[in-house]
Amino acid sequence: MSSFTGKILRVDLTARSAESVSVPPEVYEAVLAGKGLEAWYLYKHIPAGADPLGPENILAFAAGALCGTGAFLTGRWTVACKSPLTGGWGDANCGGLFAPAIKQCGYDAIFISGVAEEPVYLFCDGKSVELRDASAYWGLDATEAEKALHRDLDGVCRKKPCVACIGPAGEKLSLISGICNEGGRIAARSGVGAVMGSKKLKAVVLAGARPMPCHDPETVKALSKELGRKLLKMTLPTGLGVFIGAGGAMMGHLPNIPLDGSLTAYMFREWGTQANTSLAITSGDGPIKNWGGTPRDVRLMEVVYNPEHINRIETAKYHCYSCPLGCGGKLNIRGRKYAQFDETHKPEYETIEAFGPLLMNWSLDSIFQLNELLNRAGMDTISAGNTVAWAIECYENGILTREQTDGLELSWGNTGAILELVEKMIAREGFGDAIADGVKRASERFGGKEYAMHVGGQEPGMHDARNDPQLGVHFVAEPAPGKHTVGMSIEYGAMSLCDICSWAPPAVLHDKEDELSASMNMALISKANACYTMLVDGAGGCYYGQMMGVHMWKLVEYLNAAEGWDYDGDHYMEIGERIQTLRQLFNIKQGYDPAAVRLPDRMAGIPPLPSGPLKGVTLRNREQVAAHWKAFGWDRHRRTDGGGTMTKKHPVFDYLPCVSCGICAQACPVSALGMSREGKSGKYRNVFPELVTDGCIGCGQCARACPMDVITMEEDA
Amino acid sequence: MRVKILPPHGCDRNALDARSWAELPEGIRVRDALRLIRCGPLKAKLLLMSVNGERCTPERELHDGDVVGFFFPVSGG
Ligand code: SF4
Ligand code: SF4
Ligand code: SF4
Repeated sequence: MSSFTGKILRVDLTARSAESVSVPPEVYEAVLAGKGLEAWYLYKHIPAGADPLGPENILAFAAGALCGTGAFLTGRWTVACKSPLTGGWGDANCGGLFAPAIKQCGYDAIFISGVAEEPVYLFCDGKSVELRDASAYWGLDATEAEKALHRDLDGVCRKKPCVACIGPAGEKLSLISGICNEGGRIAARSGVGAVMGSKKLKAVVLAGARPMPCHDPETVKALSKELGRKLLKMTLPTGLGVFIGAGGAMMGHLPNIPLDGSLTAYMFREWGTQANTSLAITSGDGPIKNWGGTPRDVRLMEVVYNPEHINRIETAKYHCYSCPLGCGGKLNIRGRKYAQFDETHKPEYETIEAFGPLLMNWSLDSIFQLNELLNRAGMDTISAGNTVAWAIECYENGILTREQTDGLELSWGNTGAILELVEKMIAREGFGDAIADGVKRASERFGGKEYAMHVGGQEPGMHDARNDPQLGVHFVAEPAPGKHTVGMSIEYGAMSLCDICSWAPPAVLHDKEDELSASMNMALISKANACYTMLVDGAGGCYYGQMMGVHMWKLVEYLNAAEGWDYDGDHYMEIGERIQTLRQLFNIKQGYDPAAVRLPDRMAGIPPLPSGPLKGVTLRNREQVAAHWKAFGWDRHRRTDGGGTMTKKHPVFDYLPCVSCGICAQACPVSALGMSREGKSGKYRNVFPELVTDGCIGCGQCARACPMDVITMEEDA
Repeated sequence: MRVKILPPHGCDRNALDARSWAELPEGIRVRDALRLIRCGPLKAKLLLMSVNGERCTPERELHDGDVVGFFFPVSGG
């Protein structure tokens, strides 16, 4: 037994049908579950040129391989589809309880195609699958809809249902909308909410209670116990947060050192991700004034965003399923300025940065309100913040007039105007409507493209590549561009990947300037980061587990125990590489040109900033991205014209012993191999395997599956 | 035995290999590791230290495969 259910649920909203489909074990061997399974399925089944908001697009929800095995920090669910924001691969991930809920219905993933005629929600309790009328919930914000569904289903299901739903932003097809669960935790990126809205699917409600399989639960439990025991002891003296801003200022000037990643756990346990805000302001990590400012522009703002302010109003920690760390929290915001609500999830760093320093907004209270508003609406705070920043800069420079902004005085740090604008974006009213599809669309309509910070159509996460050039590589090279959760130098130094992967370079003490190099060594670091992140996503792991390092969160040991395998780190990194390659292939199939993606000049340091920790830095981003591709063995030209295979190995056939059994073609996870080559076997006419698409990912599954040793894997020329 | 040591800023790494591992005799403690990386007593007082992610004191004994981390609370991790 492994940890996979071996089944996926396929739903067609147009035909109002659903079927359970078995997945061959080779697929799991090749790509695990989670994002890997989604990449495998979507690459195959979304036709080239599909309209992201049309019936051909498929919306996928998946749990990771380790979800439900007892492994810690493996409760993340991933949603994937063709992104309406970028036109290429789209995905977003989120915590909460939805990942185990998928598995408890008996599936590793749910794939939804078609478009419903009227608003519906998908209900599954592990026995039956139904599409139910959702007209009573359409129009409600995500938190209210979840509450209403819980109320209406109370007593009807034996198990309390888990709800993933969209808010008004997704219903109104905002291209920067996401999908929510657990009262406003949101899988925010890539416009996944608009895809759900276009399908008229308000919610997915899961109430299954099946056991979740695992090969060796005792070993998994022992690994978790060891980690849990350590984490329990990780507490910091109260009040230390006030020094973080000063620490960041120091860090901006020190060389980078490999750290013990476990120490990040102290920060996440004590404060959550918001601990990073004051650090980011002073160190150069956090963008200021629409990526064009320096700490001088917001002098002492780190005091306002000091993490202790938020800790003081935290009423409880919030843990995703299977997480002993608990970086989340619930805040009591009753009676605070601007607050219309009593409670909110602790805002993440990304949200605070995007509506604080990025807009030169000094009001922490306004951020609680914005956080709750956007979470309820189901709108991505990163994209919304970048879009508002563009609007402000356009207004300040006369590109937008007061008439165009519906009378809003969009000056830097004008908290009232920022709040009003966000409300209008959510309601899609007036000027808010015009910019509710993100900064790329907004700047195409109104101008001010030089102020529009997006990469390949998606607004970037709140970490500055001029501070950590590795981020810039992933912003551009990642198949869902603009993501900040694929790799950074500082994390690489903390993860000790070299201890599990033979080709991952050791992290060493180095000066910041060294990170600007486009050497193969740097490229192997960015490749290792990307491969490991994909592996973690296939396992359903949390980025913060990953950051603790391989000696703390023992992913390789976890996977071997949960699946009954005996693979080493190199083998698992190859799985990560395969997932990343499949996502890239998806883009090529969809006509998204990865070679055309660029960092905006400003983000690349053209021209460089005149002062502060990032003074004088200009990235060599294009060279670094080219080296990254080279490290992956991806051929730039063949890739971009779709005429190549992107593999480093390919199958070659010695047909003599071939018995035409078809096992190899069935084993191929991407259907690159077909039984279509006509020939003779002895005196009989027969068919033999051959490559039938450009999609071979070089995984070798065909060679492993063939009982007659017909196939060997050869290095590409 | 082999131990991985991740020193804070301003310490000496000469005793460590490229992957930050050091070959050390059995029975040594965290305080010996501090000496190895030339971390002065004053600095050592300010540091949080951990072995395999577990907070510890300088008296903690080390074993083969241990990972020793140090962390200035003010350096922000
Ligand atoms: S919440 Fe506590 S009791 Fe429940 S599984 Fe986790 S550690 Fe065990
Ligand atoms: S560390 Fe935070 S985000 Fe990650 S699983 Fe735990 S609570 Fe969720
Ligand atoms: S044809 Fe390529 S992708 Fe398919 S199984 Fe063989 S090596 Fe893997």
